[in-house]
Amino acid sequence: MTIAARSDRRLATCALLALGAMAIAGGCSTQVDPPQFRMNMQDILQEAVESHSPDEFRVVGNEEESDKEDKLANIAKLETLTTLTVAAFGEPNEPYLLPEVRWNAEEKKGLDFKKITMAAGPTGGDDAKKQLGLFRQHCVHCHGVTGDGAGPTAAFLNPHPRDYRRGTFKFKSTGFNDKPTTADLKRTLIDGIPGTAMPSFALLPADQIEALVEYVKYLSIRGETERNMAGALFLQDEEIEAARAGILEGYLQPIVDQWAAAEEAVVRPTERPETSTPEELASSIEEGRKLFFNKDAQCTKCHGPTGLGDGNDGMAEKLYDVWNEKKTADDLARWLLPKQELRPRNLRMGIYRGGGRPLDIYRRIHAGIPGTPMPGAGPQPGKKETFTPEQIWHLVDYVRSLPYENASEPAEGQTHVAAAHSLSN
Amino acid sequence: MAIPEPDQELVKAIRAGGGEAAAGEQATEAAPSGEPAGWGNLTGKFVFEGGRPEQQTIDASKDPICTQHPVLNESIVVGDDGGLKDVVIYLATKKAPVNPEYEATADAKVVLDNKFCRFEPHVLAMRVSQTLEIHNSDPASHNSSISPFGDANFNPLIGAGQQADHQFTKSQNVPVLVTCNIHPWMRGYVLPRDNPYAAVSGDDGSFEIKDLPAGTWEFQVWQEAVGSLAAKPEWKKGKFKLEIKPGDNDLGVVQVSSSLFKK
Amino acid sequence: MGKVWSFLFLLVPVLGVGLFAWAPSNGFWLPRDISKHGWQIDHLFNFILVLTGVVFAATEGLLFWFLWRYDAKTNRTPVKYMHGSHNLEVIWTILPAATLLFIAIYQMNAWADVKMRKPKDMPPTVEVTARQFEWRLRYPGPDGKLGTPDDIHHVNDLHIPVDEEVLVQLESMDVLHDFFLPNLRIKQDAVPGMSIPVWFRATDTGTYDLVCAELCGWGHYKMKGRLTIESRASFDQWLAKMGAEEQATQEPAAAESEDSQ
Repeated sequence: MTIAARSDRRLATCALLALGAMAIAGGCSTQVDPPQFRMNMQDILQEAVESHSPDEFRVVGNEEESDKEDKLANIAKLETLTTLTVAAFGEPNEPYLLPEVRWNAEEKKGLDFKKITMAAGPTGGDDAKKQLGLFRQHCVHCHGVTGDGAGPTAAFLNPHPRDYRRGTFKFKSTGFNDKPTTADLKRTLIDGIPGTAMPSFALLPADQIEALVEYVKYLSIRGETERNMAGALFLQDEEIEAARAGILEGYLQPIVDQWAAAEEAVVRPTERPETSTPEELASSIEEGRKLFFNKDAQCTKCHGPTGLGDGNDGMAEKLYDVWNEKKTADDLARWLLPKQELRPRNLRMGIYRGGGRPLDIYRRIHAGIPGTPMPGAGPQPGKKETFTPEQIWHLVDYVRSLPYENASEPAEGQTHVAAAHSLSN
Repeated sequence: MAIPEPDQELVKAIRAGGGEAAAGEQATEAAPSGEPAGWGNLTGKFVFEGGRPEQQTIDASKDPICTQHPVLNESIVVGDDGGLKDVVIYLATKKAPVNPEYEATADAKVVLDNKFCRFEPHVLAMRVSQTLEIHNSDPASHNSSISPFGDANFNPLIGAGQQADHQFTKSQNVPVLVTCNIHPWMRGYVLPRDNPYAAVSGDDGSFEIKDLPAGTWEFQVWQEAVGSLAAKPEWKKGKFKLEIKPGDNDLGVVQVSSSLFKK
Repeated sequence: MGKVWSFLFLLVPVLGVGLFAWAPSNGFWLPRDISKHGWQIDHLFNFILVLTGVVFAATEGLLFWFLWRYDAKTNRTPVKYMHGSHNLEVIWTILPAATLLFIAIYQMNAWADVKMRKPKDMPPTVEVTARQFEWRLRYPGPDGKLGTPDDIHHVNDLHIPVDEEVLVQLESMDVLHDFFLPNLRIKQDAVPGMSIPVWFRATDTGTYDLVCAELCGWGHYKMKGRLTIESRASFDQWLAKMGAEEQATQEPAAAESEDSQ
């Protein structure tokens, strides 16, 4: 091999340098569009599918002349919806709150705007070296920029991350239809949700956790306001002018009031019956076992006679949570995420998503779990209690004993299946 | 679907006005002018065309109490003479004067019963001012789960012989599904409306809406299996306009073709 | 230019060794060792570093010298083919093999101390279950036994007592993870289906890192926990508090009086 001529080598060097320069220039970041909130047409489409009229809200594709008016009307409604939500809530990088919705210390109502600016926007720090963009850093990849539970990693998860936009939260200390308290959301962040992909953020500093909680509330309030306005415009044929005229009074204020009222709606159970000695605990568990199997509770119908969560197996009708029940099992583009079945909790694992303290399990049985088929056995507005607090405590003791009880060697020489039949007939 | 651009001028106006649009954009709903010329009744009958479909039996053996009576799929129920049951017809026009006769039952209790592991009635229409009482006449507990759009959700566990009351606060455009999760085949529908002008067709497919104000109104027709029921080609999305005269008004026999129920 | 290019190759050992010489006194070295047996790991690390460093400098130096001495422009002696030297091949096979064998035997004691000499008859202090993407902890409750209803569960916040032998039962709930305590020189893969004992003894209090050292998914980078080493009394107090919270039947008093803001 001959040694390359000097001019050839010079050419080669120049070419390499030029290539390197282009690579660096191309890799350098150019202006990126700021992220935008995704418009919530999913719920409207779900309602439309439920009422068997999914084509009503298609903005494109309706070829008939008579539907052109509808198409234009739909576009006008969409523009109104965007304008109203941007007016009231801003954009992901520039959040906004109407003055009436900001934190009011006397009435203890509203959102702390400073915390929201801390959690909103792109990741980075401000002049005082305080961390900004917390939601983008920690939460967006699952929960999405809009808080719709459809971020990039959401599709790989079972269960899907929470969609805040319904204003429905599963694990809280309040009644069935109440919003969660700030303390509830903090607990979820700090403890995570065992059994799901929601991790524990206990190692974050306290002020960052509070900022994230506030931002979750902001996204939930924004989502619920948008959802109700979209429902009014599209499902109820509300006039656009009427919607514009009363966004605060008609939509936003009632939701903010609900969040404020939640702080007072905490379920505080009565004193638990004595279970300090092993005999007392055993008898409480026995009472709970009887209640679990009897037909007033119907626990076994979903959780199964051995508490494995197999009570509904084999039925043609599957169980779904409220975020999935109206989806059809097709057309991913319409639903963002596929329809996901909800299995009743396997009580033998010792993993409780809402927390494993006796207090937490009491609240699940008492109020039910909103958004899921789990009903509430305690008193609710309009309903007397199905079980007394004492009975609920017995159920709590039984449920908490299940992970430590051998399912294949049930107590007192009687199989659970036999017990189920004898008690429910 | 591309997100439309927000109207920045309006955004500024709304923010400056504290959530309300700039003055002059307020719109008032066209209020009905004065007393109506009279009151009329609307009757009619929905008939299923194309043979009587068989109601499938549902396997309800999950709960022994449900095996006493056969549980049938009630999405299409056709009577002996071809009458289509559980078709809902209701006033779609937003504002209409209400006959004072209805005042007496404005806050009445409307009963939805869990009986023999099905909802009785399967479909019901009521007013928002009335209270929905959900009874349980079965020997075991049911839960009745309702999630109306934009209104409070409700999912109580109702013991045998007990009841739970629910108050709707918003009128719904489409009947709301009521389910039991313990017995997941149980489906019922409740339509809460602002006015009393709604009816559900009976076993023979006939219905009657009493004391409608005279005038031209828009009606909506809905059936569970198909949604908006466009029984006649001119009924776009199940809606039609009709002039109500004082006295009796008869829609006649409306043939509902089986081709509408595509599976 | 010719010969001068070979200085580029000389830079490699010079900068390499220079960096390692500069690093320790400028904060770029091993994390603080607060474990009783960590010195063995550090000693092995340093020993191997020096040994390989010497060999590295020698071979790189040799490379530089050959490049300099036999540069094509200045060296006009034609190349002569040689059949290879059997002796040379034997020497440079036997010598490295022997060195490696020496290292293998030299480190056996350290390995045995960390992986094989489990403290006898000692109940586990804590059961750590690795999970995507957190560390789930389970302490035995007042009855001293794991797997009973009074166990204390926690996440990510690992507390251990100082100056005591600690035994961790390491498990995994889903995929491979690695239980890595940098300041204790402890690193053990968590294998699904296995319950692996890990033992150590901390010599100082404070908060340190617990990180995952086996790629386990998209969240591997943030699978961090916090290790808090405290006195036995403080540890018992913390454990009792966590245990009481876990059995709570009423709202804890602190949360009740907490303002919503």
